[in-house]
Amino acid sequence: MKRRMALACSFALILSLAGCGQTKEASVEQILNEELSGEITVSCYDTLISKDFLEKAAKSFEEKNPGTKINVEAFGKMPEIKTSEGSNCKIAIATKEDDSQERTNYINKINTELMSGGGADVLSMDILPYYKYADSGLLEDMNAYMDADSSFDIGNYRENIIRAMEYHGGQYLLPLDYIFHYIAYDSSLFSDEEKIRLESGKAKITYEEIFDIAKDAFERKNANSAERVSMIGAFTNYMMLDEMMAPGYETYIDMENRQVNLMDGRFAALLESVRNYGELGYLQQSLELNHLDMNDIKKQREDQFFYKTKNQLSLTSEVLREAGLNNGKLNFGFGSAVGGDDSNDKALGPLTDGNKNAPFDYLQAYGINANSSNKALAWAFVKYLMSEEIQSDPQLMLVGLPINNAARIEQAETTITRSFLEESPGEGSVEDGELTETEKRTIDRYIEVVENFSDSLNYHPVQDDTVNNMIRSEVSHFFDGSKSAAEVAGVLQEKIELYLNE
Amino acid sequence: MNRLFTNAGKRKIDPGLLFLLPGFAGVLLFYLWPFLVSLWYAFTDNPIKGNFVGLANFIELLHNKPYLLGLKNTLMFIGMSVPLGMILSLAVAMLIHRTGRRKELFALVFLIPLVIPSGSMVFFWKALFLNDGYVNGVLVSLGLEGINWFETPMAMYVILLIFIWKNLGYNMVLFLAGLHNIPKEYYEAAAVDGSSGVLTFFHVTLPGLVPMLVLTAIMSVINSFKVFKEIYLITGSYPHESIYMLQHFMNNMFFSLNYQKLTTATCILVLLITVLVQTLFRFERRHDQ
Amino acid sequence: MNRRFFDAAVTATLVAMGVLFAAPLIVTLTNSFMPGNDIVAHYTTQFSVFDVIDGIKEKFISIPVIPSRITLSQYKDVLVSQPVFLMLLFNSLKITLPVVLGNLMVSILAAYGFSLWKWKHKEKVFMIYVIIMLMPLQAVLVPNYIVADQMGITGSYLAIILPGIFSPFGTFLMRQNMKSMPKEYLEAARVDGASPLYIFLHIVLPQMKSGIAALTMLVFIEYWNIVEQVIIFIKEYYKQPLSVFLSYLPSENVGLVFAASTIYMILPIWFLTLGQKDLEKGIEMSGMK
Repeated sequence: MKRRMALACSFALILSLAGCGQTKEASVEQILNEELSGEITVSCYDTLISKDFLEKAAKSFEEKNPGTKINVEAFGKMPEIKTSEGSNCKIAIATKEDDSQERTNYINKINTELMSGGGADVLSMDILPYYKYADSGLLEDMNAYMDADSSFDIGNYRENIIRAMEYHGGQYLLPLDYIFHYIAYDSSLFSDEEKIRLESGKAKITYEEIFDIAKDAFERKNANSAERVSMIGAFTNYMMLDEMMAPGYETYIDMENRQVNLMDGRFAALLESVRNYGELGYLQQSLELNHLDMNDIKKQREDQFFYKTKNQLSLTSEVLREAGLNNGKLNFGFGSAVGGDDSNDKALGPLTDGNKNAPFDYLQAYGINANSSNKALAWAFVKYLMSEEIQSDPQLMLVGLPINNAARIEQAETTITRSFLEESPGEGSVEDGELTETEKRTIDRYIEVVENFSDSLNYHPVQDDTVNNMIRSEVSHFFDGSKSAAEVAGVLQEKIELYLNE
Repeated sequence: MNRLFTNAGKRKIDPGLLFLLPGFAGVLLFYLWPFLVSLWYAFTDNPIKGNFVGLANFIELLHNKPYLLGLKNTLMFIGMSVPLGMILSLAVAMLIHRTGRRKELFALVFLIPLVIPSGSMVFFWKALFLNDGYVNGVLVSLGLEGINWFETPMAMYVILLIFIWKNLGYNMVLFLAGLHNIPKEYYEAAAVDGSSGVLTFFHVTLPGLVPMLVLTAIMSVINSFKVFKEIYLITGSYPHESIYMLQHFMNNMFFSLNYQKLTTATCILVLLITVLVQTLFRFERRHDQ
Repeated sequence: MNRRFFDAAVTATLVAMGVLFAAPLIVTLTNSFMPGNDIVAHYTTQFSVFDVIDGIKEKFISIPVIPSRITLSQYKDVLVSQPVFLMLLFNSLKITLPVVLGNLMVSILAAYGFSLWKWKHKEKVFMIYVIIMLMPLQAVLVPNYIVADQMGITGSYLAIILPGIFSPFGTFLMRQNMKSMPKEYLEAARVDGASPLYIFLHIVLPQMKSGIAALTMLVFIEYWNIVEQVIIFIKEYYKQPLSVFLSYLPSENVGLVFAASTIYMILPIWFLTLGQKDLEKGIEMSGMK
């Protein structure tokens, strides 16, 4: 009797558990027709950009849609602790390691929730491995929503960016913004003939090619000058390698199809050429990011480089310079975080693999939990995050370029007019609300450059933190001379294969 | 309530069961039930809305190279660390038990590794054994060559050292508790019989410690899994292949949301361990008779 | 003569091992009084201007034992400028104390229940206790979460405390400890017609001091150091225990982390000294009839 009771009890438990996963699937059309109500949770890791952005957006969404509630959950970052050090002291320890522990914890938490069939409704893909979630069917394919929702027109967004983020044909995440690198060259360092060569090859820029073009100029300049001028301001060999791998990433490591291909000699050759660049003095590696002080920054700002890899933020200064303005803003980008002398810089274009791939990245992107119980609201909120209203809100200014076309143009206008205002306060357009001719011209030129560059962006390979960390730690053995390029390639091939087949 | 009493009149409820019940209810809810659920996942293809796939996960797992590597390393590590750790901690417990002076202080010192926060602990072990760490500094100053501790098969021995350092105190506490439970009269009787130290150890101490030996053996196995946390914090999720443990595999599966593979791996582990536990209990029971 | 020599050798061995085990504590303690700059200089192997002047080519991490300068500023920061530390410490207590007390009660009762229980399959039930204890954390995390979710206790300490109270380890330890208790006592009492509750309170409980001390110490330490479950269940950082904060590798403010670690370790160490004395209390036959 007793035993039978126990058996019945455990059966009841099993049934109750099995029951909780069996909700009926609603079609996307049904979801879209639902009235917006109830509440959802949005989860993000990053507390620097996303959290603030999401909280403000959630507030304005709630005001617009009474009866809804958007909870924003940022991973509990530990309180920052400051010590009272002397005024001249510098703490010189990188914070990378504790960071990785915290990331691990966050992913651990999200994974537990998702695998239990719960979790936040909307997930910020700032550090989450979205492709793993997509593989396990934990994310909603938003293609269906985009097609079925009549109020969503993909033509209003940068379609090439959105489409490039598909994974196995599914749109598991939608970006709010995008960022990319482009190459600029210092026109004062090149001969006219070399400049023509550079300008003619504009569409397909690879490091190999542009370094080749500048070879003579490099020797010319450095033969009769005491101050060496580097090709590019790469801080470390690894950064250079990373940059050079980026446009062809999937030919080395294809996460989408779980393939790794480092043994055909190309990777070893890549390693050799990075080291070669270092030996030739192409790379400026003296600067330790950890030890930066004001003098270094000042010196850096006067340094010349043949090329600079900048990010999209620097495009404004490029255009403003053309318009005769030099507002002395810093450049941002790989190897030139503190600038360098950019008074003669000319933008060439985004980095490519020499063929058709031009990589880009995003800062904010969101996915919808396939187990969400309020998908209608989740989709409405994601859509709202991509809307012109949110994307052009000056209070919420996106750091990357807005994915929304109208918002991008508005952002361009704000940025340029503000720069003009800073340059000559009082004279600007703000009083009468009209733009001056120069301003209009500059804005148009800026939009032209941005759109032109953006048009070519099409490459967003799935990257994996673990794989990248493996590469980083293993190639250090090559750069310090303890292993050959072929050995490193072999070890990595094995390790990454092990990881992919686990 | 009433029925309980009236029933008790007719058929007496085992008083043991009454004492056991509150604990058992909790164990059922928080341990046994999750345990059974996670075993169930081993037979499905997906943690959410999974379908029953029979033994497919097991077959797949037995062809999985990383899994087999982890299993091999884990069994090897258990084989080395558990006996070594037990012998050392028993020796220390006996020494402390014997020593006349400052008993508490000594016992306390061996417990220190248990209370050091894992962050600091990892920090120290790294400071000692990294390439530019303290140990290599000493080696170089002695005119020897530094060793790449974590990326050669030496890693296994470093981990063994960490394990013993961390867990010696744990076992020691258990042994001390066991040693104190052996009535002094037994020793006195042995002394009267003129038994030598070694003989007393084998005839009085060891038999008296059997239940605790079983306990420490099992806890050592559990703690040898837990040492993963330190390995992981020191060397990351993909360390040198000589210290790639089953726990690495499981942890990585968790991160890939491959829950069914994780629980399948656990299933096999539990099977192996059940055999071990059963042997230990049989040993204990035989000894008891 | 021989005996004296033996004692001296035992003490010497223990001292030598003790130094090894206590080294991290000593270093943490002394370093917590060291100014932040000095610490950085010792634990980084990046070259400073001075190294270049001194002609140092290879640099290794050095672990300083005696600080060259002493400061209390890190303690001031931890205790005065950053009250959040005290809050985290308090959180640690709020989790640990209920678990220790609850687990003690449940375990002793259950262990006694097991020894009384007369069902022929009770050893099998006991084995289940042991086996579920062996489940790796990752494997039961998801079902645990489901249970907590259905009980509506995610986000509260209860999600950690309740499973802690019912942890089968305590039952296992107490039962093993009870086994080494001479059966003659219990038999004698039973023959005298004492009720199970009377035997429990007046005979079993007083005899189990060393086991209780061992269990208290080990459970306290385990929950004092708890990290993984907290991360899953507790969302707000100000509700997290100090162990989570200290599980991150000290990076920017090594000195500060040393100070916080020292405070974090003082409590369990003080607690362990209390437990030590009880660990010594074994079974005294002479007190029994």
